[in-house]
Amino acid sequence: MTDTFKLYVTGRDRCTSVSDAHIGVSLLEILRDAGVYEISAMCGGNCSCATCHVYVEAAGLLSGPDIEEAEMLDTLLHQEPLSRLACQVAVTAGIDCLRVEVAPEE
Amino acid sequence: MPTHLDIRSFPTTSDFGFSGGRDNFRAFCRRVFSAKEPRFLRTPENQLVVFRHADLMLFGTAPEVGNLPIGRMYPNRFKEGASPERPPGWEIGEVIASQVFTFNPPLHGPARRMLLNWLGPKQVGQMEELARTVTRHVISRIRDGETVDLVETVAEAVVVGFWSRLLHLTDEESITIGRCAHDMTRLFHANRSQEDLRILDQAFAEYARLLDLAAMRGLEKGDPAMLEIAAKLKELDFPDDPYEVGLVPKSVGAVLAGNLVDGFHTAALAAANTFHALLHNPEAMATVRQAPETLPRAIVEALRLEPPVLSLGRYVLRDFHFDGHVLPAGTRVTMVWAAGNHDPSVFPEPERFDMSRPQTGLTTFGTGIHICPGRYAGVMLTRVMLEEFAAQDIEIDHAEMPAEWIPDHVMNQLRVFPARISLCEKDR
Ligand code: HEM
Ligand code: FES
Repeated sequence: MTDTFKLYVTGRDRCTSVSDAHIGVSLLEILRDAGVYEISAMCGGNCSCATCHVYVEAAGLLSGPDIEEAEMLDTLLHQEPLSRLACQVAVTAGIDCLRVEVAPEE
Repeated sequence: MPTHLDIRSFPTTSDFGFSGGRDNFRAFCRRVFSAKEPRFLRTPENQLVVFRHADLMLFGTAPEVGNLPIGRMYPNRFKEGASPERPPGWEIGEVIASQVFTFNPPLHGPARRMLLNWLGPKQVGQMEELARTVTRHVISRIRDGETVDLVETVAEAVVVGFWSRLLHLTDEESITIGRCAHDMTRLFHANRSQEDLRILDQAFAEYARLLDLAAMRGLEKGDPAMLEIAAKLKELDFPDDPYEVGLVPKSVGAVLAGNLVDGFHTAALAAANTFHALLHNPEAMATVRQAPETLPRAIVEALRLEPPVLSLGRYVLRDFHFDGHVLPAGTRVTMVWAAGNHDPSVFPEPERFDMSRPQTGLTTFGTGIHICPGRYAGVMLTRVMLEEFAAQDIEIDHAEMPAEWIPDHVMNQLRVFPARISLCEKDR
């Protein structure tokens, strides 16, 4: 089993970039390491600002949102079935590819 | 070994010419950001002053740096055997004690979510039509060619009208609560006088009474938002702890009163300041008129340039270790949020209105778990006001009388902002 995976990120400008990313603590940190700077993460990864809202295609492989994250997502105008807060997504071993789209700003 | 941060060794804000208020804020920013030192400042009472963008982010997002608990704000109030007399400022404390601003974990998170369930972006989106109706009514009372005070006649009128209608207040009650909201400006004077406290006590008592009435009416009418707040409030099962965690609000009315102080007051500043920034940047005004889709960016930039909140307090809950220093528990911290937006290391040429600059990392609404939960409502009201003026082809121009900012104030607040309102040529 490897600790790297392919990360596809579609930014707000609709351009997609690909990189090799390392399994990390949270998807937010992985995106930061990948140079995705349009996510401001104003609450510092504390599930309080939703500025790290993304759409993630890998549903089955990741554990779902907990109640706090789900409540926060329910307040968002741009909530979609694939919505997640990047700071709350733990990316653990066993993932070989992740497609992430940065959600529009609220 | 980490060293205790020696707050007394830092210069004061007034050493850099800042006493509060917009008039000396910009000059302060120019001076203080002209060099890398000092990293921090202090208030005359030796509170630590945090003003650099990186430090506002660091302190704002640190779990150790929480809200100032109500019992620390009013140290004598909760003492055993405290005098039954109500000293000046008492009624303010009655209201503020139910404000999330005075809560810390574990009460803070669920109480804050209770607010966001009501005022999140999705929910605020559903309130937009009401904001439009109120704005149209306010605009309809202005005559072509009239000079009005944009603060009172437009921003405050729309903001107060909006919350009043949302909360089932009558027209007469709306006028009264509008007067209270106007008087609440004194809460943000840098040095509050006895006269300020007397007027504030009256305003807060009347405001709290009206919001209690509003909550009862809402619940009686089966208003879903009020019922939801009531249900969430029941789930807040925490013992009263005035010195750290906070006090669970005793009623839906207390939730509303506590947390809508900024709803009734600060939201109007956001609108007035945005009008001001746009009026002083005619190119930007023309752009938003021609391309309405640029309005949201213009508002963000206007509020970067003229952030309504200059500074607010935080409180160190547990020893905070950073960069080899330790800041002891119990330290009061002044966060100059507005300065973060004017830090040239993050926002080059900070006094220039530039809609195309990156809009991440703004400190207009604070940071961390305390980032303003009312920001969507505040920004929506501002946007709707501008959209309605544009939709009706109404021009806003400088009047002969200049705008006036309130001095010695922790808010960046216009006292008056006279402007000439006229219909565009083609509509005459
Ligand atoms: C639109 C202009 C507004 C501005 C510029 C503003 C700014 C701020 C700032 C700077 C903070 C401190 C955040 C921190 O400590 O990190 C804050 C907190 C807060 N604001 Fe606002 N605010 C505005 C409107 C509102 C409105 C409309 C409401 C209510 C409807 C509101 C309710 C609150 C509450 C309850 C907190 C405390 C949050 C917490 O501690 O978790 N604000 N706001
Ligand atoms: S960084 Fe604030 S919710 Fe994720």
